[in-house]
Amino acid sequence: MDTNDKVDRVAGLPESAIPMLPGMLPVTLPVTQGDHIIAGLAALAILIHVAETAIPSPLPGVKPGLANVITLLALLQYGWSVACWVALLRVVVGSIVLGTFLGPPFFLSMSGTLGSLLVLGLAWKWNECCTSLGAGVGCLRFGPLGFALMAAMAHMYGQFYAAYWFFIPHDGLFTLLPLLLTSSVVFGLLSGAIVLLVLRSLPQRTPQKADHESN
Amino acid sequence: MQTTWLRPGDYIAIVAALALLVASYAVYWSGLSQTALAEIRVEGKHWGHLDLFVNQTVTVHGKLGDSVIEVAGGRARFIHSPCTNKLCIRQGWVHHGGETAVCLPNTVTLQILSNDPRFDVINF
Repeated sequence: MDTNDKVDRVAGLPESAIPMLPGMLPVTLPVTQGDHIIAGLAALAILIHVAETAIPSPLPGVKPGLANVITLLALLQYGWSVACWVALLRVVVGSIVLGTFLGPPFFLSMSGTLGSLLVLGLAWKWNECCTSLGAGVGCLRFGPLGFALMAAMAHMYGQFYAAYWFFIPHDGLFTLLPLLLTSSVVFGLLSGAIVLLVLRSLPQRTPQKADHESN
Repeated sequence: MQTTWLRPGDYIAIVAALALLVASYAVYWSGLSQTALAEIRVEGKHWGHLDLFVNQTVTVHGKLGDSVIEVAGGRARFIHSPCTNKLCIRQGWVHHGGETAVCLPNTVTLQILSNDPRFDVINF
């Protein structure tokens, strides 16, 4: 994969097809290989996110969260910044597709995603510190299951506190928290297992420095 | 790359998550009050506050007669009321912020004060 492959193209149209007034300058957006990867993963995540709304849920907020599998794969194969792009694109575009953009579900989703990305970033840094310490030092590295579980818990906490502070500032909401946490532990481990199974079928890849270079 | 299912850090994460889960059940499902004050109103007007951590029995004079409210173990309830249906007594213990027990015929309300008493729900 050649990440230096920059392509100058204006949306695939020939220059003559674009109406120009005097004084206008054509804007070209160079598209990198990294952009393609992010777009592809984000499209997959959005697809799963939208399809998942067909699954009935016993409680609002209890979802399998299968789109997080894509975020975790992006993290483990391409690094944290690619995972951030994929996750945030999923939240924004998914909410546009579902018609909840800028509504309460969007803010809950966004707060949960920001929380889980923060925790994933910290855990990723922890793993990197372990690697830099070298072999032979007793350092506890996280694997996909650990990442998935922590991300799911952080997601649920982020969503819960956003709901508590901005939408339902009623103490009775806390009675719901143990149930939500139970579902996040169960589905977090499930997502982690799926990530592990998917990784076995994918070619080996560790994140490269060139992955999050853009333009 | 990832052929092992559980790495060393994963064990810590799972143990911590399960501990947090059990703790959340213990704290939020225990039935203990998160706040320390209950408010009693008669005919809509403030009658008095009750400290939930002081076991006490209070007699409130309402429209029909005397309602008796008991505070014990961080919770409060109606134990006696002059109404016919006794729905206030059947409400049982109230402990979480925002929870209420009300005797409408006697116009006596018992509410646990929550951290932010201004709103129950906000909608946009």
